[in-house]
Amino acid sequence: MTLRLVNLSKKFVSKSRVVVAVDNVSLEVNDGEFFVLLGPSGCGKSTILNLVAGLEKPSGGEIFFGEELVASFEKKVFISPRERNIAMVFQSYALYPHLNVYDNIAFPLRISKHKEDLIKDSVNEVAKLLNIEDLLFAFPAELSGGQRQRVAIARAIVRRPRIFLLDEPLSNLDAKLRVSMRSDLKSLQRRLGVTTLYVTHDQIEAMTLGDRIAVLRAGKIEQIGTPEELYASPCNTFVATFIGTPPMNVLGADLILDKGLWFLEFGGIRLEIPSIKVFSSNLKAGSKIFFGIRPENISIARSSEKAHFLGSVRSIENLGKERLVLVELGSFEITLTTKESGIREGEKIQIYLDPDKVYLFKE
Amino acid sequence: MNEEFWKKVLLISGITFTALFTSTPFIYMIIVSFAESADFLGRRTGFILTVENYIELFKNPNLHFLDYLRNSVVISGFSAFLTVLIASVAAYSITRLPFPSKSVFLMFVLGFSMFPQISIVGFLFNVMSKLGLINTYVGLILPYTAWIMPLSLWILVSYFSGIPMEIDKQATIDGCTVWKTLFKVMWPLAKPGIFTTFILAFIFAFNEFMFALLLTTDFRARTVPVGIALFQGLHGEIPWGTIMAASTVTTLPIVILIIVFQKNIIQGLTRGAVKG
Ligand SMILES: Nc1ncnc2c1ncn2[C@@H]1O[C@H](COP(=O)(O)OP(=O)(O)OP(=O)(O)O)[C@@H](O)[C@H]1O
Ligand SMILES: [Mg+2]
Repeated sequence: MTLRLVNLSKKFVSKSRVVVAVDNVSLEVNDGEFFVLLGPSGCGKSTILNLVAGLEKPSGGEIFFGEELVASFEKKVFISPRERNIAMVFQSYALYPHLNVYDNIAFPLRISKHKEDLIKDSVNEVAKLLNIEDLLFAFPAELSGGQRQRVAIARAIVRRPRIFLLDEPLSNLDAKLRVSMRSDLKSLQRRLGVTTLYVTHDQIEAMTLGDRIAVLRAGKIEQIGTPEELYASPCNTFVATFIGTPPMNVLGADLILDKGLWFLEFGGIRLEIPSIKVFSSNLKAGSKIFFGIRPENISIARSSEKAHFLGSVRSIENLGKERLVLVELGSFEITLTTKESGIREGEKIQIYLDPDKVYLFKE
Repeated sequence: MNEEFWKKVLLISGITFTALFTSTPFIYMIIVSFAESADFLGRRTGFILTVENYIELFKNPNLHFLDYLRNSVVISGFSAFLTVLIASVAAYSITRLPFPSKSVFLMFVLGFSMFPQISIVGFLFNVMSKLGLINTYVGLILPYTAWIMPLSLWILVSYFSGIPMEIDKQATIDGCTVWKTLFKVMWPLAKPGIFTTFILAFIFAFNEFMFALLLTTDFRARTVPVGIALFQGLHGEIPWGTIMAASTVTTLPIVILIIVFQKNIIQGLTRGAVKG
């Protein structure tokens, strides 16, 4: 089942203000695809999910499940959530506290009046799939966070939904559990082949889970692409700093053309960059631009021929595998990662910025 | 040490006094109901134990006690049921729908419940006689349900607002209509509140006197409290023994009900307060 959003908008009007939570969003999720909506808090991710689920009505635009129009503001079409046959997992899991695990999972089937022996088979099947067979007669209050999560997912998939919606399902779990649930979720989705729309503000989660990702800011889509595309060619500084840890350095600079060579000038420093970068970005000489460079593309140069700039070390953070070093460079500060352990705070070092790995942005 | 001791003394004497103070009328009621004569204290024969009053109560068809009892149970039961039904639908909408000045509305509702009953009896009598509902069950069930509604609404609003919205959303997605969400999810989750509301409404209707006095003229719909008050002896004297026997018979079930379910009721009433 493909999912298509066309110019989807949602406004919330209250006494004091109007919030445009979703602003003209169009996207298409392919059949069986794991699609992630990524963005900071308040950017409208949950609202999009609620619109797809039918918990909210759009204030503009249309939603299609395959060829079927399920919601349209202009055509006044609205299929109720009950008839959409989708499943949703909330951040808080929203298990029914008065029902045990078995009855929780069976609930959607009972509401749609399935036969009790069929229900039994289905519940046992998904319980097995999610490794919660031993918990079937426990109540939600007796379960750990990870177990509740599994029950919520089991309840969601037991109906064989057309589309699977997840709203930050892993954010209440501890770090270790989150990693293992992540891979379980991914393989489960693969096995079921169900079209999935997944909301998160955690870019690592998005990168590891998503077939494709839409990056959102303030209700608008900034960029859609595979994790590799977003990492390799972010379209603006917002996406650039949002994707990747530690985040990309982004600095303001002047773009200078001098005797046929292109330079970035920032904080009293001049860095030559390949002209191809400028041509493909269609920026003009002499304009104020932003440039980005990832911390892993900056290195410490001990031998002076490779060295570019002299900086002084402000602080060092040990990440275990490597160190995150904050360096003062001209009037700017820049972070880099290094495996070297001999650096001291306050020390002067030569650093090298790889010109081939520089990104240029208009804004 | 000393202070602890006095605290205990105060506590115990306070409890004892309260218990005696509130239970004396009941104890007296029970004693009189088993006495051969109500003024046994002034008689030379003293107290003579007898169940004559109870036999009279149930055997004398002119007293209509069994009619009154049936009326009371049916009317109170229906009133309580209707109250729970309407109050839970109302409380559900109040807590779930966007609703301007919710708290003002709720204060207003509560304000109504502070009116003295006497302030509406004239109007109520006119309405009920125009509708031909004097001496009918419906004629009492309607005002009872209306009268206990504000309190019920408050109890249930405090319960429903404690249930996270995501539970409703989940129920909707799992295929529930609004009604199914209310009855299959909200009701079981607010069970103590629903229960308290039912019991309180039942007790209110069971004990109510003024409306019942006004809106009934004979045994067809008259309830126990009014019935007892209007008991008369053959020659116009007041049959204290029978009255006390009737009171005992009707009070005991209520007292037992409250004792058995006191935990639920206290929980139901204080829930809003504790949660803030
Ligand atoms: N029912 C509502 N009434 C009014 N405003 C709302 C409502 N729901 C959401 N909003 C507003 O819409 C915007 C987007 O909210 P939304 O919940 O979709 O954000 P989100 O991306 O899911 O954020 P988070 O990561 O914090 O969950 C926010 O500014 C929020 O205040
Ligand atoms: Mg959200």
